[in-house]
Amino acid sequence: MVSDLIDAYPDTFAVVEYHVSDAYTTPWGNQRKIFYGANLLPWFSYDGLFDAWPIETYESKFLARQQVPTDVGIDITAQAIDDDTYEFTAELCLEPDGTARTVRVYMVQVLDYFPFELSSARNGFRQAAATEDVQLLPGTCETVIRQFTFDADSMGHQSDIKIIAWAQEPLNSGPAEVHQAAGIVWPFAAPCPADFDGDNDVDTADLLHLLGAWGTADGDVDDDGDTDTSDLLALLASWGECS
Amino acid sequence: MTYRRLIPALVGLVLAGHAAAHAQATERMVLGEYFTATW
Repeated sequence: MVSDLIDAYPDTFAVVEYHVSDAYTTPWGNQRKIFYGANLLPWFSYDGLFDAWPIETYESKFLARQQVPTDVGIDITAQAIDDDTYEFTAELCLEPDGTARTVRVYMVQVLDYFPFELSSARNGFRQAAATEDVQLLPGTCETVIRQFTFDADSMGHQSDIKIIAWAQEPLNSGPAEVHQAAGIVWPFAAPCPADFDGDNDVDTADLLHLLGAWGTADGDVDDDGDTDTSDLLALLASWGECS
Repeated sequence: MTYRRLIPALVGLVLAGHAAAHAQATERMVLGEYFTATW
């Protein structure tokens, strides 16, 4: 059921799976179990607020929670440091009419289909970065930057690596509301040829660059050596954040 | 329409779309933390 939800809602449901009380237990997962007082397994915390049990209500409770408005946005971008180390930047923005608040920013690495021995395993927890409490003010953004070095299990299954970040009420135990979550999957730094100024998006500045380079090779997006209508269309098709 | 006239029209279209996208409400991604064990 959890697996079905992960596949059905890849853009609106970020799931971290912790093993507790077995051979795959991690200290950090155990801490989260204690945080929530999750004594009856399985325990499926939704946005840090409640256990979604029983299983037949997992989807309906997800859909109801997903409809609750939020004023916090998170965008994750990545930059390669070396072969197995990446730096992740979580940009948290509060809407102009949002409520000023302090959130605790979490960033973890999971590996899909891990532990490998378990056929139903999804998004298995691998490691967590240090949390950071961030004060969000209306209409402003803050960033949290963390590095992850991936272990051999992860590097052996690179396409299954995911980074998940969330902004949660800075409490010592649950329930603690999660205002927003975000995820980024391998490959983290996809080619973004229309991002001429290298600021990880395709926007007006890149469009102006292309127009200024019309007829030369400097605005070449489709790698055919010139800057023409096909490059303009390719730029428009990739408009927005580089993914 | 020539390319020279087409381009400003496209630019206007893109900028309008960009502004509209930013005006949309923030969509929630729900966090699920699933605690389990092998039995």
